Amino acid sequence: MTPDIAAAHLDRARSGIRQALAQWNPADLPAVESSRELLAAAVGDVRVFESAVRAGDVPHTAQLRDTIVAVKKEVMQATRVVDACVAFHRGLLARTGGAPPTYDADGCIAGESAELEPEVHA
Amino acid sequence: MSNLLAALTSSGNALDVFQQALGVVQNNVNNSSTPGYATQTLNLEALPLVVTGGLTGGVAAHGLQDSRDDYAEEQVQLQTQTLGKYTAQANATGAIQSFFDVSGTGGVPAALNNLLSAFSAWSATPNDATAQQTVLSSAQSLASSVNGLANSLSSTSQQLDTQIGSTVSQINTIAAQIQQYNEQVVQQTQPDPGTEAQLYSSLDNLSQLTNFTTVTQTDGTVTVMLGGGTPLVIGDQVNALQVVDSVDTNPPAANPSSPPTAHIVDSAGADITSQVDSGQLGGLLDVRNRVLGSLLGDSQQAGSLNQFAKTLADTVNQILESGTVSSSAGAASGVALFTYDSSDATHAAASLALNPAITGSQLASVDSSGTANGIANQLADLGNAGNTAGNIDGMNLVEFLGQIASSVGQENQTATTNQTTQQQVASQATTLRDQVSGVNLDEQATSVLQFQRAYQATAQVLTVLNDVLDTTMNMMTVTT
Repeated sequence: MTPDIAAAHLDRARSGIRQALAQWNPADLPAVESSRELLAAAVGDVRVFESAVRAGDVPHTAQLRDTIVAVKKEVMQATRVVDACVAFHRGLLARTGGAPPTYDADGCIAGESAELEPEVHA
Repeated sequence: MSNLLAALTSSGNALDVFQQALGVVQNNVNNSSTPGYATQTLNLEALPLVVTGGLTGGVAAHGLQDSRDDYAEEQVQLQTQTLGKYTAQANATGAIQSFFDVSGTGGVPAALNNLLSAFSAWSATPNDATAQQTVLSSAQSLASSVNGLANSLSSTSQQLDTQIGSTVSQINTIAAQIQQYNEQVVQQTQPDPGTEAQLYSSLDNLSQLTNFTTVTQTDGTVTVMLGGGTPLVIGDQVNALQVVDSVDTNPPAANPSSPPTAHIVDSAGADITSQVDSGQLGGLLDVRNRVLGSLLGDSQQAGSLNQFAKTLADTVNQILESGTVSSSAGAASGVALFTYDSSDATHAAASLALNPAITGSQLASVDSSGTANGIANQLADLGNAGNTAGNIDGMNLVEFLGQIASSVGQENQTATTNQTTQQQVASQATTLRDQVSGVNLDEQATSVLQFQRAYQATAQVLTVLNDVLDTTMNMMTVTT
């Protein structure tokens, strides 16, 4: 893979992350799903980029490293937004009359981690 | 006949109840833009219908019910408090950052480079009067630049004091509004949506200013506690806050004449500054006391700008005083180039000055071994990498100055990033509040769980994304 193609994958991932965050609407389930799909696609692009780096196809420049750091910051920003949502609804669920959900060590609703993992890596 | 009359009466009552319900709806429409207003519904109840017993049924109104969800309100207030903090931090650190020239072409960094260049030029022609005069004028410029920066930061500190005072004043005003609400509510026989709207509007405004929690008492009054538990409003009592600028004495001040720090005290005079860690007031206090304290000093620390000024003056003076003005026997020793107020470690930057008694011919260029430009060379080397003279925390003067600017820039960048993210989080909390308000969560538990699953799935994708980026970055072996 050429460095340009690898970099294009990273750019596309970044664009997808930004789009996911821009259209994030916690009150609209299809919009949440759409954001998740964009992020899942970004995972795919970053994996392609990672493979190119691993294969030595991409020069290890400071500029590229700065770009990765910038993408990571955007991921952290999105994580904070989504985590706030999770926390909000966790509080809501604790107040509902039904049995409250139980969470595993990763903070996920018990029994759902394994179900989600293959979808993410697909 | 009597049944017909009863039916007509029942119908009349029903019309009356429906008119009330319509009035409630109309009121909701009228108040759709009223801050703090929550949609109301009229509770309707079917009356017993026993045809043979003369009970004709019908409908009755049983009070109003509002759509407000206390948990959601609390979450919005919490996120608004955090946004207030980050916004204040971003604005205040932005103002401070503007005083630092990261390009090195202006301000103190440029003045320092000019002085080092003047030392270098002087080392080439140690007895040249023009070169000597350039050293003096460059030293004068550097001292003025350092004074100017210290003064600008002090002015910012005063501006922040004004903003802190204004914020505290706003908090006290809102506390008085809540107190009035409490006085009204104990006189009411049933909740009034209008009064409640005023309360929640006041709480929304308060959440932009400071961190607090509320407790609704059995008599309907609201108790507002500041973050650490200090009551701001209890019933009809307000614990008004004040701002006091003072030098901390616990632990005993290492720098008794240092710039004071801003303290928030309650009406009993207790210092509650540490309890205010969010909202606009929390952000302002953080920049005023922590960020500016790290630059200008406080009771315990000299401040990086004073460290720089003192080290610069001490190092340059020490080198000059170790030399002589010529290599001839009995030649006069060097004279200090800078002066500063050493009575308190926090005064160095503001008082740094060119020694008024020095002349160009008193600049000592000859070192103890008799080298004609030995001292001038030592001074010119001060900014070179690897030079240990005048080092602060392992950095030479140029590097240390860069580090000061960098740390200020980092503070601003972090605050700005936090602000951007928090704007979205706060806006999202409002959206979620609106989504759950008026919803029976017991009935909607399945839907809530569905949303929670979707959020967690998204969170998990983000975790994977972060991990892959970490792995990729760890593989990058950038050396430059």
